[in-house]
Amino acid sequence: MTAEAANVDSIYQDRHSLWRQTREESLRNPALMTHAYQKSFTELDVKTDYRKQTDAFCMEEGTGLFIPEVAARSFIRLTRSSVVWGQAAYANGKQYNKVYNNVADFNLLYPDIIADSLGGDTHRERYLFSGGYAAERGKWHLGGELKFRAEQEFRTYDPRMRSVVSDLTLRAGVGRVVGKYTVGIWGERNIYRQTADVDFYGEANGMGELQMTGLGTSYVRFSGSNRDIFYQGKGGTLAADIVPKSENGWFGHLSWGMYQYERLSDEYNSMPLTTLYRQQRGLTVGWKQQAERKEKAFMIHAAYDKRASDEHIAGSASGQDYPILTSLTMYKQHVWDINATALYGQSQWRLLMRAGFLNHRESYAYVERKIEYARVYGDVTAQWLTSVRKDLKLNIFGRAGYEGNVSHKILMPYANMTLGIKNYIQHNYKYQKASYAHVQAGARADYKREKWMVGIYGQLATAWQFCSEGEHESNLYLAIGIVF
Amino acid sequence: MALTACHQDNEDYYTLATIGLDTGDTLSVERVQAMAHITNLNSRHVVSTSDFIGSEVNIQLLRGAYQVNIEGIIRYSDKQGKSYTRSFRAVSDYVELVGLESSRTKLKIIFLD
Repeated sequence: MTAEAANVDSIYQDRHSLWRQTREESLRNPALMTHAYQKSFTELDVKTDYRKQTDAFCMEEGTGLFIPEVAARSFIRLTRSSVVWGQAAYANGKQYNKVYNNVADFNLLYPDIIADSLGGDTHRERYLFSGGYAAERGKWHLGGELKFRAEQEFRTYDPRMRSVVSDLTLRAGVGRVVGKYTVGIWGERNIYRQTADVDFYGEANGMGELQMTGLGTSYVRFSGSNRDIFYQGKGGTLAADIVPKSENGWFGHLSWGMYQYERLSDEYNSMPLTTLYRQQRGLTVGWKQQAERKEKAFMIHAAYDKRASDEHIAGSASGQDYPILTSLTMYKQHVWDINATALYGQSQWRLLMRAGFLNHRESYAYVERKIEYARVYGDVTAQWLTSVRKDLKLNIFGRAGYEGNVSHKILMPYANMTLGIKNYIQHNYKYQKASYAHVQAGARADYKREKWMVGIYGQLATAWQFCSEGEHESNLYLAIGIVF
Repeated sequence: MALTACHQDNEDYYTLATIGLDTGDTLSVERVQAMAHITNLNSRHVVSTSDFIGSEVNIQLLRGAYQVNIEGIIRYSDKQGKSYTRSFRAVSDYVELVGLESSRTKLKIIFLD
């Protein structure tokens, strides 16, 4: 009886333990999914995420959101050597007070967005589907995965923005067992589309939209009444992993991604206005050891993210056709993030400590603009996974951390900037150069009677972030669902 | 795997622009005192200069499409060698100044008197 209870516990641990973080990166390779989980499971849930900032930390992202979601997630072992997994989710909610941003997927497309100083709340609706298959044949692992996201975001009052996104990603991977290790490589290909337009119904509200080009600059010539744009994106990632077959040994991950998003104008015969080139590189090296009751892991992670936005310089129109004279990389952003993580676990407890350094540099070539800041950060996460009774399991976690600014710099041609843009840049800079303290606490309870076919679960978590500027963010997460 | 080709940043931002005044074949320009306002069509950023050498002005500009507006006083002599000092204007709504190192354009002038 005790043996069985321990076994049930180990399945719960396998799914929810912080230890999973040592495997997460390698599981982006679909070929390595065959041993992602010890046991098949399906989870259906309803959850909601509520977030509110007393003042927007980033104007374009607004002051908060309220997004309820229903989701289903499955991992099923078909045979001893093959698995399938999948996910389907539908979310429908609101985002509050977005200013200087009238597109969806701001984080993907910044700085090449369309914007105005009015902004407001938006409605968001998202559909997400993904599925994958992986199999083992002798020493070889093979796998593939497909993800599709459709999203729309709109506002029901002026300025009436509407963005429709479709985002498809295909991923394929292969792995091979070499001695005590599995070596894997994978590649992904992404196709991205977004149409974005802004309308004004009120007769007096016919203000212009800005085709933003970074750090408060805009493509003035095609701003104004030109309010229909679309994005065409494509790109991919190549990555390699080495992981130990057991939970003991060295592991490493190396990835290189390149994506581009072209912004085209509908009104001007699909003329390309800008192209954003995004390059992402990642490297992780770690070591882990899992004994019967003790766990130890250590990893170092470095990530580099570069954005370069080309402005296409349009010539003189013949009809509605503008020739492109040349392209200039006016905007650049470099972000470095380097951190070290240590994880220690003992029976039901786990403690994760992380310390890192973040460097963010943005610049616009002419007239020169610059924003730079650097932060050091550290946080501690504690987790307690336990079986209170045979039918009730608990996952209790807490996290506390601090992000402290170490340097910051701004360079702006204030004399050439309008008051609105000046306030917008200064607002964001105020929060970029600030320091943040954050705490998080949460619990998940899983209940399943012996005779029940399915178990039920509930999760409640809250997170708070306090900014040195005196403002704060509060977050509440709630989920209930069934597991089988 | 057909990945996107690696992107090279286009950092050839500037061109040395020479904007000349087209005064025809019959006049020989002795001196120009004028203000040239050069507006970038994309960003609406305006640069001004009065640095004329003969009938030309040289200026470092961001490569792009421009609007040029020159207004001032010109001293020239005609075929007979007689000297005149007159007000003039030269305007163009659209000039391409995109040369990788240098670009050149000429604007027709009109006398204001």
